[in-house]
Amino acid sequence: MRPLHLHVHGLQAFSDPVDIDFESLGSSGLFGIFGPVGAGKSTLLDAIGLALYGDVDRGQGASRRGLRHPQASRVTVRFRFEDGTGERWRIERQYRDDKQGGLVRSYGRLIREGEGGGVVAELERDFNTEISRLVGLSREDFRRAVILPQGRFQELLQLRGGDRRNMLERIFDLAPYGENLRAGIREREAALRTQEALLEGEATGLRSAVELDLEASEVELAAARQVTLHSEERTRTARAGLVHAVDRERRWRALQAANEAEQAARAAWVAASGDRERLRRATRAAQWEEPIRRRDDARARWTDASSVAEAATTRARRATERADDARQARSRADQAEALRGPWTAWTTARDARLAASAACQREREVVERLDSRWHEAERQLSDLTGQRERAEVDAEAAREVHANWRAAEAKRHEHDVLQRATERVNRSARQLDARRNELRAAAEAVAAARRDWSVADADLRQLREQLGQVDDLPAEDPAPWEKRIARHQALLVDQARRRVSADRAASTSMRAAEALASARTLRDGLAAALEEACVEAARRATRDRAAHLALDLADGSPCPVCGATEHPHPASAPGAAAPQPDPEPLAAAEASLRRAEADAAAAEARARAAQAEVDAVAGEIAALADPAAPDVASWIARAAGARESQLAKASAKELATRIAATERTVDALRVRAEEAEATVAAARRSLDEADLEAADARRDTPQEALNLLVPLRRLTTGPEPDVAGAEAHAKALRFQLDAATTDRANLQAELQQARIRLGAAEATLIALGPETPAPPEPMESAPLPALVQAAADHAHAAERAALEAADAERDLATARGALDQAERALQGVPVDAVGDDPLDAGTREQLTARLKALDDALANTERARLAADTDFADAPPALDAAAASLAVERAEQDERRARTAQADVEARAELAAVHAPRRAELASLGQAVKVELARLHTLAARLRKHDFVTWLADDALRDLVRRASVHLLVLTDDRYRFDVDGDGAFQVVDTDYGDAVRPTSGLSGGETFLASLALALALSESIAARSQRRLDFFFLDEGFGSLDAESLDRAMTALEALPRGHRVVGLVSHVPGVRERLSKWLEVLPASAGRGARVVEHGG
Amino acid sequence: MRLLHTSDWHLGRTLGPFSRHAEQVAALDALVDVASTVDAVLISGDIFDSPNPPIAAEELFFDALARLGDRGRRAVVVIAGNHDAPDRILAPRALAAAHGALLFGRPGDRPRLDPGLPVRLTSAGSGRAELALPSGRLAVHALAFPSESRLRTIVAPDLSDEADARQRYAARVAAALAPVPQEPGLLRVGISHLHVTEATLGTSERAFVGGAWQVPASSLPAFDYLALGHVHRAQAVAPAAWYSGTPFALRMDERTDPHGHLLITAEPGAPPRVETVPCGAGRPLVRVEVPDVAAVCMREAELKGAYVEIVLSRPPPSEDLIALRKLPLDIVRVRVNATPNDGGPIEDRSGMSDEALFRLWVRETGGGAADESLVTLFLALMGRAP
Repeated sequence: MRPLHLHVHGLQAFSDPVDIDFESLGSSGLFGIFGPVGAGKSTLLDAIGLALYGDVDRGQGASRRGLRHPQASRVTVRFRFEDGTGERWRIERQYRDDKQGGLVRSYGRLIREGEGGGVVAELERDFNTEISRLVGLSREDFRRAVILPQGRFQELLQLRGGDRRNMLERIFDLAPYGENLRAGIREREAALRTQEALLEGEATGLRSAVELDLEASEVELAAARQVTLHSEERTRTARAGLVHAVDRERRWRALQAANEAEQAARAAWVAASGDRERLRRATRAAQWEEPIRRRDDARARWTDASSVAEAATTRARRATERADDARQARSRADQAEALRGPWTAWTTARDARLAASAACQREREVVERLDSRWHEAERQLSDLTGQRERAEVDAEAAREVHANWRAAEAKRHEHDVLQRATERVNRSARQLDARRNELRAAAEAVAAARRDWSVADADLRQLREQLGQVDDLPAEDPAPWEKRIARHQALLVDQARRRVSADRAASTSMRAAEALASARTLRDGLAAALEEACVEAARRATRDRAAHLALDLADGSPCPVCGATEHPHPASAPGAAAPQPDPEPLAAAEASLRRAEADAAAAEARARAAQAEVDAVAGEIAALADPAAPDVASWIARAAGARESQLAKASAKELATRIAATERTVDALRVRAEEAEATVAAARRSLDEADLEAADARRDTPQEALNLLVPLRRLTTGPEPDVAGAEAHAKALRFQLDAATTDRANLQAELQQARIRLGAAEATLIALGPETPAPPEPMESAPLPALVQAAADHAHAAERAALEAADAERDLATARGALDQAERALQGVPVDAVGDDPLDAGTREQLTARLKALDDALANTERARLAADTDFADAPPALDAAAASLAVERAEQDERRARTAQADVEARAELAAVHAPRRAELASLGQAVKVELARLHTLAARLRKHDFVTWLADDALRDLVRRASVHLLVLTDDRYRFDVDGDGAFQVVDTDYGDAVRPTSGLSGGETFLASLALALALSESIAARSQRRLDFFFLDEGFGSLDAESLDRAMTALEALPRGHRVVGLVSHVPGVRERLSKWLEVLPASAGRGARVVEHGG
Repeated sequence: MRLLHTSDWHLGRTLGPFSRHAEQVAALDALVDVASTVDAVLISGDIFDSPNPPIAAEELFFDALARLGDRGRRAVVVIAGNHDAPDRILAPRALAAAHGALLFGRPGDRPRLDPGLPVRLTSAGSGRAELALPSGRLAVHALAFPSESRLRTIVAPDLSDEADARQRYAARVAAALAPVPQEPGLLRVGISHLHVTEATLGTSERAFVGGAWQVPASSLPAFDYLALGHVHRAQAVAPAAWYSGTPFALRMDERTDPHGHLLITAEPGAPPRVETVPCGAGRPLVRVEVPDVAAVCMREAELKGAYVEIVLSRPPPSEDLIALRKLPLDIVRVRVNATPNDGGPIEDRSGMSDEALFRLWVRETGGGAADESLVTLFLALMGRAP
C-alpha cells in the first residue's frame, strides 16, 4: 500500500484539523517529519494506525483514553491510500466520548474510490477482514515493519521463531498454504466420508431388495438349471424305460404270435395231412384230382379262415371299444389333473401374500419401536450434551484456577531461582578474585621462567655461533701440504746446485762467446780493412777512370758518357794506384774465428744443457704450485690452517657436548616456561570462565528482578486447587456422551436396517401382485393311476385283439391266396379230371412243394418261437410297462416343478441383473472415494511431517536475510551482515572481528537502528518481489539521534539511494543532519496558547 | 604570498578501538612548525570527527587555533565540514577573533576579527573577507559544508529552471562561491568542503560520499587558489583547486593514499606553486594477509607499532580470536577473506508457481519426485485446478 492523504482532527495535540498530502510529499521518495519533542510528530503516524486498525499503539487500550484533544468534541481521521493493484481506498473514522472518559466509535467506513466503488465495510469486524486483505499486515506487523516506532526498532529484529514465522506468513500471504490447505483437507475428507456412507447405504438397500446379488443369483440359477437338467434326465430315463418295457411287451406279444403261428402252422400242417394223403393218392391216382382237391381244401380252409377272421375282428372291435372307454376315462382324469396345477399355484400365492403382509406388519412395528427408541436416545444425548458443556465450563474454570495457582507457583519458583542466582553471583565474584590472584602469581612465574629461558637461550645461541664458526673451518689434512713443502725445499737445493754449474757453464760459454766476438771483431776488422782497401782501390780506379776519360775530353766535342759538349770541370789526372790488399791475415783471422765459433758453440751447448737442467728443476718446482695455493707461503698457511682446524675440530667436540648440555638446560627452562604459561592460560581460562559465569549470573539476575523479590515473597501459594475432580466429572460426562452418541448411531443403523427390511417386505408384497380370482377347482375322480392302469390294460387288450384280428385276417388272406392258387391250379383241369386221383405230376409236385412249404413254415415258426421264447422265462411283462409309465409321469412332474423353480430363480436373477449396473457404479464410486481419501491422507501426513508453510516461510526468511545483509554491509561500512541462528533468530556477523557472531540484542543503539533499517528496506524489497501485495512505504520514527556522523551519512545515503518510484520513506526526527539532506519535509509546530499543533510543508 | 592548506583533521576520531589523539597532537605540532613560514593558514572543514567531539579534541582545536594564529601574526581561515556541528566551530569565535582566526560554520556566515592585530579585516560579507596582511592583500571566499538546505538559506531558490537536481546544486554552489572581480595586488582564495566530481575517492568513501551532492570542477569559480576539503586523498581537481587530504591515513584503505599538508606559493593572477609537506605523524597502517592466527604471532615483531588489519583466509576459532586480542599488537580489525559458506547462491523463488513450489517442497523434504495425483490434489485444494 501507499499512503495518499491523511486528515486528522481532534487527535491529541491536533485540536485543529490537519491535512497531509503524502502524494506530493513522497514524490521524491523520501521526506521528513520534523519538529520539537512533543509537538505531535508521532501522532501523525498514530493517526494512520488509528485509521487502519481503529487503535493507537501507545497503550491506551480499547478505551482509547486520552486520545481526544480536550477542546475537540470528536476525533476524526480520514486516510486515503492505494493498494498493491492501484485501487484507491478511503477510511473515515470518528470517535466521541463515552461515559467512562474513553472514546467510542461514532462511525467508521472503508470506501473504495473510483468507479463501482462505495462503502465496503462499516462494522469493525468487516474492517479487520478487509484491512488485513488489503494491507496484509496485522496491527503488530504494521508497527514492526511499516512504522518503526521510537525506541522499538529492534522488535522486528528480535522477533523469534513462531512470531516471526507468523508475520512472514501474513506478509507473504502464505495462509492458503497452511491453515487454509489443512482446512481444505479436512472439509474434503468430511465430504468424502459422507459420500462414502451414502454410497454404502444405497448399495446395502439394493442388495437386500433382491436378497441376492448377481453372483449368488447366478449360482442359484445354475443350481436350479442343474435340478431341471437332472429331472429332465430322469424323465428321459423313465421314458427310455417305458420304451424298453413296451418293446419287451411287443416282443412278448411277438412270441405269443409266434407260438400261435406255430400252432397255426402246425394246425395247417395237420390240416394238410388230407392233402398229403390226397397227394399221395393223387400221385398215385390222377394228376388233376390233386389240384381239385387242393382247391377244395383251400376253399374249406378259406371258409374256416373267414370265420376265424370274423370272430377275431369282432373280438378286436369289442376290445377297441373297451380301450376307447378307458382312454376317455383317462383323459377326463388328465383334465382334472391339469386343473389341479393352477389351483395349487393360486393357493400357494395366496399363502405367500398372507405371509408377506404379516412380515410387513411385523417390520413396521419394529421400525416404529426403533424410531421411538431413537427419539429417546436423541433426547438423552441433548441432555448429556448440556450437562457436558456445563461440566466443561466447570472444568475450564477449575483449570483457570489451577493455572493461576501454577503461575503463582512459578513466580515463587522464579523467586527461588533469583535468590540462587544472587548467591551464584556472589560466589562467582569470590571465585573470580581467587582466580585473579592465581593468574597474577602464574603470570609472575611465566615472566621468571621466560627470563631464565631467554638467558639460557642466549647462552645457547652464543655457543651455537661458536660451533658454527668451527663448522665453517675447512676440513683439511696438513700432511700433503707439508710433503709438498719438503719436496719444494729439496728441489730448491737441487736447483741451486744446478744453477751454479749452469752459471759456470754459462760463464764458460760467455767467455767462449767473448773469444768468438773478439775473433769475429778481428776478422771483421780485417775484413773491413780488406774491403776498405778494395774499395779504396776501386775508388781510385774509378777516379782514375774519369781522369782517363777527361784526358780524352775536349770542349765542343760531346762527352761519351753524358753527351755534353762543354766540359767546364774535367777530372784531374789519375794518381798513383792503390796498393793491392793482403788477404792473408784475414784468412788467419777466419780460421781462428772458426775455432772460436766451435768453442763458443760447445760452451753454449753445455751452458744450455745446464740451464735446461735448472729449468727442469724450476718446472718441477712450478709443478708443485696449485691454482688454490700458488706459493709456498700459502701452502704453509694452508698447512698451518689445516692443522689449526684439526685442533679446532678436536675442541669443537667438546663444545658440542657443552651445547647439548646447554640445550638440555634450555629445554628444561622452556618446559618450565611453557608449564608456567599453561598455568597462566589455565588460570586465564578459568578466569574467563569465571568471568563468563559471573556475567551469566549477573545477566540472570537483573536488578529489576531482584527488586521484584520483595513483592514476590508475598506470593505464598495455598494448596493446589482441585482440577482433577472437575475434569474427571467432565470426562465421565464425555464418556457418557460418547456412549450415548454410539448408542444413537447404533440405533440409527438398526433403524435404517429395519427400514430397509420393511421396504424389502413391501417390495415383495408388491411383487406378488394383487389377488387373482380362484381358478376352477379340479373335481375328484378315481385315482388316476387306477384309471391309467385300466386304460392301459384295455388298450393292451385291444391291441392284442387287433393283433389277433390282424393275424386272422392274414391267415384269411393266406387261405384266400392258397384258395386262389388252388383255383388257379384248377383252371386247366378238365371236368372229368375232377374226381379221384386225377392228379398230374405237376400238381402233385406243387402239392408236394406246398406241403414242403408247410413243413418249412412249421419249422420256421417253431424256430421263431424258440428264438423268442428265450427272453421270457417269466410271466408276460405287461406290468413293467405300466410301472415305467408311472415313473415317466413322476419324472415329468419333478421336471415341471424344477422348471417352475428355475423360472422363479430366473426372475430374481433378472432383477439382480437390472440392479447390477447401478451396483457396479456404486462399487466403482466407492473405490474412487477410497482412493481419493487415501491420497488425501498421504498429503495430510506429509504436511504433518513437513509443514509446507514453514518451508515457504524459511525460504522467505533466507531471501530476507540475504537482502538485509546487502543493506547492512553498506550501512555499517562493510562491517556487519546478517545471519540466522539455529532457532531462526536473526544474528549479526561482525566481519571486522573474524566473522564473530553476535546476537542482535548485543548491538548498540545506533547499530540496532541501522540493522532495523536494513531489515525494513529488505522487507520492503522482499515484499515487492514475492508478495501479491506491496509495501510501498515505511516510516522511521526517530533513531537517527543514536548515529554518529558517518553512520548518519551512510544511512541517509542508503535511503537516498533507494530506487525511486512507488516507494515512500518517511523519516521522523529531530536531528538537524537529517533535515538538511531532505528536500521535502513537514514541520510539526507544537500547540501554543489556544491553538492546536500545526503542520507546515517545506521544500519543493 | 605563502599559504598553508590543511583539512579533514577529524579530531576525536578512532581507528577501531584505538584513539588517534596522540598522533593528532604530533601532527598539529608539526603543522604549527610549518606555519611559522606562511602568511595564512586555510583549514577546509571536518575539524572534528563528530558533531559532539570529546573534550580533548576540542582542546586540541583551540590550542591549534591559538598557536597557528599567533596573536594575529597570520590569518587562519576555518570552515565547518559535514562532520562538524556548525555552531561548535563558531563557538570560540570571540577568542579566535583575537588570534586572527576567521570561523565559518555555515554558508553565508560573516567573519570578524579584533582590530589592532597585524592581520586586519578590511571588509567582510556573507562568506567573504578581505584581509590586509603584512605581506599583501588577501580576499577569502568561504563556503562551509553546503548541505542542500543550508545552501538554500543563502541562495534563493530561483535557479529552479535547472532541470536536474545535481545541476541545480552545482549552480547554487557556484553562486555561493562567486569571487570578487580580479584586482591588482589582491590574491583571491576560495575555501570549501564539498565533493568535486573529478576527485579520486578512497574505497570506503565511494560507498557513501557523493550521491546527488557533487559539483563538477568545471562549474567551480576561478580563484588564485581554491582550498578544498572532504575527500581524504591529497590531490588537485583543477590546476588551482586542491584537496589537501587528511594529515595522515585515517582508515585502513587510505593507507596507500597521499596525505599531508599543502604549502602554496601564490601570486594574484598567476598559477600557484603547490608542494606537499608530509605531516610527520601518524603510525603506519598495515594489512597482513595470513592463513591463520599463528602466522600473526610469528610476525609480531614486524607489526609492533603499527595499526594492523589482519585478513585471515578462514574463520578463526574463538580461542584464536582471544589469543589475538592478547597479542601486544594494535589490531584494528580481523577480516575473513573466505566467502561465507551459505550453501551457494540462493535461488530466487519469488516468481514460482504454486505447482512448482509444491514440487520443490516435496523434493527438498525428501519426497523425491512428486506424485502427479498428489500435485493435482494439492492444486485442487488450493482452488487452482491444473
